[in-house]
Order: sequence, then C-alpha cells, then structure tokens
Amino acid sequence: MKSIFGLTVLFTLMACSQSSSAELDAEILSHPDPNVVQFYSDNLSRIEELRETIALDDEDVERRIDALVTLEVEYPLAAEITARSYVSDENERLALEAIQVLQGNLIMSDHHMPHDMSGASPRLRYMFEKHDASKAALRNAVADERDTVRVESASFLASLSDEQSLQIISEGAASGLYSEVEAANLYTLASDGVGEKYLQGFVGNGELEAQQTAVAYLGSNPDYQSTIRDAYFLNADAPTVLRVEAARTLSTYDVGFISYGPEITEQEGVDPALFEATMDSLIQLQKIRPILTPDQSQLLLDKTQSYIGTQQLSTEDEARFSDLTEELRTIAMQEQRLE
Amino acid sequence: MEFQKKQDDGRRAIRNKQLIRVVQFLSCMLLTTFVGQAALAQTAVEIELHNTASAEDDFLCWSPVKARVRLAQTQSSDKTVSVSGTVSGNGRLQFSAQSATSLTSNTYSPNDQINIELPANGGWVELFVSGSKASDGSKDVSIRVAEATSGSELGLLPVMVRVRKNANNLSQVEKSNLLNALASLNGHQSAIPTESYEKYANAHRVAFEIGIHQGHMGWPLFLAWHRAFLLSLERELQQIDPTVTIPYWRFDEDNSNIFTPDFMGTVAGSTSPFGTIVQFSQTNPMLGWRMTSGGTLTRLRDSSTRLQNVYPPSRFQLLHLIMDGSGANEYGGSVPANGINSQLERRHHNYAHDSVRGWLGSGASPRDPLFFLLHANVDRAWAEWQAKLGKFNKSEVSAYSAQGAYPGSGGSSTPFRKSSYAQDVMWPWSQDDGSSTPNDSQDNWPSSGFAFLPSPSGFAPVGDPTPASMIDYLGMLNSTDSTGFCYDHINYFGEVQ
Repeated sequence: MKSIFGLTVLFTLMACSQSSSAELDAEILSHPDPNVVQFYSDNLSRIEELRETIALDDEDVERRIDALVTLEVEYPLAAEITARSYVSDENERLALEAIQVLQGNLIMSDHHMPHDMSGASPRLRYMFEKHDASKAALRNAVADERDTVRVESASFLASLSDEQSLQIISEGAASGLYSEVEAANLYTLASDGVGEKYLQGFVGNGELEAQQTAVAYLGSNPDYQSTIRDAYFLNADAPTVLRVEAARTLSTYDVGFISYGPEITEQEGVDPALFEATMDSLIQLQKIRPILTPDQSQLLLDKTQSYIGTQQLSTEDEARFSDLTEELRTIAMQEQRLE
Repeated sequence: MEFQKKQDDGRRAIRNKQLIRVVQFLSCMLLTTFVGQAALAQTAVEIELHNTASAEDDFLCWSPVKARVRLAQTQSSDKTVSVSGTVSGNGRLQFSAQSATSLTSNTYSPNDQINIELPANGGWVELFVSGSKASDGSKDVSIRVAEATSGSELGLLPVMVRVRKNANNLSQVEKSNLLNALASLNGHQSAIPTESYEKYANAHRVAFEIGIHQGHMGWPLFLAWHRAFLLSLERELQQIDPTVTIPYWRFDEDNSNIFTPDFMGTVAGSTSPFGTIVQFSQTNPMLGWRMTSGGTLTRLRDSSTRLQNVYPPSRFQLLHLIMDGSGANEYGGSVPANGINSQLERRHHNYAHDSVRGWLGSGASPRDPLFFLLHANVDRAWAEWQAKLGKFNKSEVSAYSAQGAYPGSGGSSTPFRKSSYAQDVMWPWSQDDGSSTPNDSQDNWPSSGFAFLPSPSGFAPVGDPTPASMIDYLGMLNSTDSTGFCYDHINYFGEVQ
C-alpha cells in the first residue's frame, strides 16, 4: 500500500507541475519492466534533447511540434509525461498536439478500474497510476478559454464518462464558457448513466436545442422515459418541435409507447407535425413488432381521417397524411384478415 | 424477416440437397431398369464439403478444406469425372486431388478443374477445395461434378466463398444480412433488450485487466485477443445467418458508404449543431440500438477524416516501416513500443477510436457495433504484416512474444497474468477462475459464462482459443489450423493484393 501511495503522490505531483527531467526520469524508472527502463535510460540524452526543443517557447512552433511528435513516436512513455505539461500551452497548436498525445494514451486504458488494487500486478498498477495522472492533466484544458482546446479535451473526457470533467463542463455552461447546446451534446457522449443526470437539468429548461438533445437522449433510457413522456410528449404546453422529438425517441425505445401514443389523437389543437410523427411512429412499430389489434388499427385510421377533416393542411402535409392514411388502412385490413 | 428468410433458405437447401439425391437415385434406378448397364454413363454422384452431408457447413474461404465425391450407385467399373466450380455467381473455386490429411501453402497446388477416378464400389474420393473469388452474400457458386468425357453434369453442391470484405464496398444483400444478424443478436425483435450482444462490451471492459491493450508496456495480447474476440462474435452471428462475416472499416481510406442512415448510422443531420446522437433510417434494423443499461448510441464524428487530416504523417512513419518489413519485424519487440502489436494499437487502433469517440471512445466500446468493423481493419493490417513477413509460426517469439504457458505464481517476476501466454486459454473463454490457486492473484478471473462457439465446418480452434491458435489463422503452415475466416485481399499463399 505504501508503494502505491508513493507512486500516486509522484504521479500527481508530475501532473500538476511543469516537469523537470529528474522527476520524469523517476517516473520512467518506476516502470515494472526492466527492459523498458533500460531502453529509456539508454536514450535519455536524445529524450532530453527533444524535450528541450519542445520547451523553447521562442522557437518556431513547427519545430516544437515536430519534436513532440518525434518523442511520441520513438519514446511514448516520455512523450506522455511531457505532454501533460503542455495541454494549456500559450501556443494553441502545441497545446492541441499535447492533448492528442495524451488522448492517444488514454483512449483505451480506462476499461475497468478496480477499487481494490491489492491484487493488481505492478504492471497494472503502474498503468492505472499513469492513466490517472494523464487524465488529471488533460482536465486542465476542459476550462481553457480557447474553443478548440476546450472542446477537444472536453469531448474526449466526456466520452470516457469522466465525472469531474462533466462537472467542469456544467460549471462552464453556467458561466457562459460553454453554450448550453455544447454542454448538452458533450453530456451525451458519456455512458453508464453518467451523462443523464446532467442532461436532466435541461428538462423544461434552457435553449430549445439543448432541450431537444436532452429529450432525444433521455427518452432512450427507461429511467427517464416517463419524465420525457409527461414533460413533453403528452404536455400540450410544450413546444411542438420537442414533442415531435419525444414521439420519435419514445416510440423507438419505450415499449409502453403503444399504450399512451394514441392519446395524442384525443388532444385538441395538436400540431399536424406531432400528429403525423406519432402516427408514423406507431406504423413503424407495427412493422417491427405487430402490436395493434384490429380494433386499435381501425380506431387510429378513423381518428386520423377525422383529424384531417378538421385541419387546414398545406399541400405538403396533405400528401404526407394521404400516405399515412393509406398505410393505416393497409394495416387495419391486414389485421382484420388475420383475425 | 431476413433472419427467418435465411433459416428458410438453409432448410430449403437441405431439402433440395436431399431431393437432388432422391432424384439422382430414382434416375439411376430407371436407367438401370429400362436401359440396362450400358446406359450408366448418366450415373449421379454425391458431393460433400467438410465431409458431412449437412448443408449448414458448406462454407469456405481461401484455405483448402476437405471435400469428397462418390458414385451414388455401385458400378461395374471405375469412373473418371471432372470437378470444377460453376461460374454463374460471384464466387469461384479451385481444387486439388492431393491425398494428405493437411496441406501447407507451399504444398497446395490447386486448379480450376481436376479429374478424379471414382471407384465402382461407391467409395469416397477425397480432394481439397478452396475459394479463389468471394461470393456475394449467398451460396452463389457450386462444386460441379461432370463426366470427364462428355461433360454431362452428375452433381452440384452449392457453397459460399465467405470472406471478410471492405465495409465501404459491401453489396446491399451483404449489408442487410449483417445488420439483421446484429439486430437479432441484440434482441431487436423482442420488446426487452437481451445481453446476448452486450456481453461483448462487458467482457471487453473486464479483459483490460489481462492486458488486452497497452502493447507498448509489453503486454502481448492486443492483436491475438481481439482476433479471437472478432471470431467469437462472427461465429455467433453466423449461427443466426451463416452468410455473415464482419467487414472491415478502412478508416485510413474513403469510407463514405459506411456512415449512412441505412448502414452503420450517421451523426450528420442530427438535431443539434454538433449532434452526437447516431441517426438510423426507419428501415434500418439497427434503429433503436440499445443496451440494457439504457442510453442511445452516440458518436462525436462520423468517419475518420480526422485520422487523415489531423494526425501528422510522421506519426505513422514507424508503422509504415514495420508494415513494409523494413522496420522492426517482431510481434512484441525487445522495445515493446516498436513491435507490430504496439504500433498497430497506438496508431491505427487508438486514433480510430479517438476519431469517433462517444460509445466508441470508452472501455465499453463494443457497445457500438462499429467497434467490430474497426477491429477487423486492425486485424486485417496484422494479417497483412504476417503475410508480408511470413509470421505464421505460432511457436516463434517474433510471431507472438509471450511463448509458453503461464508459469504459475511468481509475484512480480511473472510479467503477465494467466491468459496472456501463447498456450493459455484466453479469458473470457477460459472457464478457469483461478480458485484452485488461492495464493496466486495473477490467475483470478470472474466466471464469464462466455462460450466460444465451435465452427459447424470444423474450423480451428477446436475448443477455446489460445493466443497460439490465432496466429496461423489461414492454416498456411497446416491447413487444419485454419480458423475459417479470410480477408478479401490476402490469399492462402500469403500474397497481398
């Protein structure tokens, strides 16, 4: 445990400060594979030479970037450690290059972090500590003032379902650093139920497009389907565009849609776009999993014909509703025949 | 529907095969009765692939597999017949009458047509058959046996030359078969999601602990484990639809046909400015792709234009040298970062995952079925390197770096966990949870219940996969080691087209 703690402190210190060569060597020297340690020791002068070029901020940036890329290709461990110090570099291109170096190392190394490290091999322990240190460094870029740097690192860490980054994004959305739509989209990149709790904040709140993203995403999760159903789909006061989005998502993911979807036909003043989206969704559902009884099919057909009779439809809408009616009629006839 | 159709097709093929034999038999009887022995020039034959009468295993790729032919009725004398492949569909076949239990790519010498002598007593004559051109999503080519002199047809056996292809160039039938099989495995026909597909994502996550990534740290499993992982899913899909293979996503080339609403989905036209929710067309069986944990499929970007435009070419120089055979030519490498295992992981693989992100950017990335197309391309690149450098000997350290078997508990002196060595059965297919060695934490694994399906055609591995069983995947050094999958541009002779 003592060694794990020591390693953690070492990595954390390195992640949070500009690295000196002595500290970097220590991290490499703690690698569990003696062949790797030997390789890096043998090439230390070349590594240091490249690091010095990267650090020269009055140099041509192309040369600095080339040095970082070369370091990454030839000495990936050294590059990862070095890149942690440059994710917020004043030079935007170098910062982005450093972010990419870290991303290349982090992308497939977060799979399953065991809480109990006692059974982990030295190699695995080293890997996890390295991963945490690089992730911590990359988080510094999530609140960067530059759009490119910020979104690049945020979209990456959101995809890793990194809660701390989502919190930074959330705070950034509150302060105006991120637009609400940007934040909503970034939350959707997270999995394992991590993004949902942030997206929930957009239910009934915020910019229309951010709400639309929240509806499309949360409507796919059984834990949130009743919320989306009540707050949008069945809510006559909700904007039509959001109700249509809810119809599409819920009909795709909620097996209960067949039971409440037709309620739209009972509401007064339903926008043609919502009526059409709901009927179309029910038709598509019927094609995948036949669920409508003959009576239900006939009822939907009657309701649709009746709805058309009360509406002043545009030529375009008329054509769409004509197709819809035809499909409903076909389904109703098929169902009656089957019965 | 398509799944049902395929099942029906399979049953129909078996029935047809039986019917052909009945018709052939009756023809013989009639001829014998009414025309006499002299008319036996019309004698029919029986043809079997993989030496079974079942039509379910009548699939092959570039590697030679056993077939056999015999006269359906005993005759007064032996009969010379020609064996060839039909040319009406896309698939093409080649044959060899070599008598051996197995072949190598050096000893196999096939021809488009061969003559064989069928014994009068109805005994089987064995031969080897291999594909030389891929089929188009169905059994579109047949083994044809005909009279050697007159050319009269004596029997046909429909087969499929089934290979992994570039996903960007799949036919509509091939795409449809793949999507239907994936959706079926993921329980799309039922109202409640199943874990039949999701178990792959869960296993991938846990398997990180055995070192399936981070080859630059010296862990050897990346390429070999993912090859078995692909084959595991492929065989499960083939149980649903035997015509399906996993295509590869050339993320280093144009792939505009892959990211469409009708195929693997798109984030273009999503509801918000940089939309992340993947859109499928209403008729795509993948519509509503879901996991039991909820959530909808997200990606940051559609394709890999980023891979070509953002990452400097200099990052790929080392990989290119290795692929050309002019760089380090080892699987692991004395400096692990420079072996093919690490270079393909860090360049091809990591950048491709990173270019898409969302579900594909996390440890549970197999949740996005694009994962398997991505890994098929990484595997294809490994296969290309193997072919160019002749790295098919499973006992050579340059073909797989961790030779031998797990030596038992050695604390920190044992570099890799059980499951990593060439002779170890890999987790999650291994059912050994390490409970018999409580003092060894390096061999403890959760029970996975994960089964590696045997191939109906008898392809290797027989039993659960080891890293060694993944090396000579074409059976170039021993045709019985063939795993039954091939890439469209790497033939059995190691030639890369």
